[in-house]
Amino acid sequence: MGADGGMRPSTLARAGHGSLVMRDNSGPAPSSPTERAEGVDEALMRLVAEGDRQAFRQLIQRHLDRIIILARRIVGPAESEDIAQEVFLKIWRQRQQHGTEVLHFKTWLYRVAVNQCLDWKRRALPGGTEEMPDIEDPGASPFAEVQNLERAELVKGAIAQLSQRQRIAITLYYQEDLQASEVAEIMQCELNAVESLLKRGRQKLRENLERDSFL
Amino acid sequence: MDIREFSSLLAVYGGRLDKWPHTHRLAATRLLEQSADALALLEQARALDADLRAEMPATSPARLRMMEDSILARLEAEEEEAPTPELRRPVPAQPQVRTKPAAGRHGQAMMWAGLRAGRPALRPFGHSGSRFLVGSMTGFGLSMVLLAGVGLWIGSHLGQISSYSQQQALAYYSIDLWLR
Repeated sequence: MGADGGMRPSTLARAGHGSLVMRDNSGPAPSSPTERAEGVDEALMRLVAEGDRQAFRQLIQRHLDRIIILARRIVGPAESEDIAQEVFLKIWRQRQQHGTEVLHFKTWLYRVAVNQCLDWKRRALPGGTEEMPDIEDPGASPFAEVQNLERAELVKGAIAQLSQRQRIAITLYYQEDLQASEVAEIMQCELNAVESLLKRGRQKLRENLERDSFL
Repeated sequence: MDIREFSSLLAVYGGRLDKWPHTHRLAATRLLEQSADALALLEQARALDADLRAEMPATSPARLRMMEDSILARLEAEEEEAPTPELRRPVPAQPQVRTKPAAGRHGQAMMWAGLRAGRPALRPFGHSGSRFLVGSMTGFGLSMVLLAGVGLWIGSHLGQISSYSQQQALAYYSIDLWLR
């Protein structure tokens, strides 16, 4: 971790085809793919802060699909793409602010995304449950596909019965594969609050799944 | 670590030990080597984890590309509509320019005319002595000073002599002009 908020010094150079490639300047090489990915994000974000749209496009390419999925899980599929677009527009508008807080880019991005989902939920009319699209699994047999779909529907129904905060915590921890401490940073709450959300959410999910399996 | 504590940690962190706090990971691994019950609990937890990790259908690359283009087009449109952030920074404070500049100019002209016309009448005894004595002023001199005052007032309130420092400088300059 460096003095600039924990980032490894690195720069981006333009390759022949115009895209940006990361070049490490100093220090030990990143030890894991996650660290390397974080280094690339941070380096891209520094360029974005200077107004580099090519770097911004690369950031979009790296994260857009995950943000759509996150929004789909929190608010449903109908608005997920609009929300994802708004998230990246906010990132662009607030590009000067990144780096003022000691947050990894991904944590910051997810925080903006979760807040955008919550804003949308607040604005949305009460009631109305959103339908998720069918789960596609081209490699599975028709029978397995039906079973998977049924199970996915069951899990979807169980997740939908969680409170909003439990759903966000479970989504970030399991589906986005973040650490509990990162979830706490994104949700802007204490670690023990996240642990409590995860514990109660998981317990409720188990109960819901057991009950619904017998229906 | 006993089975109760292990179960409690499973309920919070799920079945992937690499996501557990480092301090509990080693103790959990030791317990799993010794306890079949702990292993069974772990298997149950992993089954639930797998359900929770089930991937949503991915958005097609073509659709993602379209969205990328849409985001960049929107930000370009936004920036064309609004000034860039640099231009949106507050402009350094400029002297306040008030409306009715013509009235201000007339006010200033009145003030200068009053001072110039009144100066001989206000100095009947030359440079020495009583130039500051109001009692020595002629009626014409007094009226010219009043005219200058009205000019200064109009200039300050309606015209271009807007800041206090400008008013002060003008007043001092007027007195100086008169004393010369």
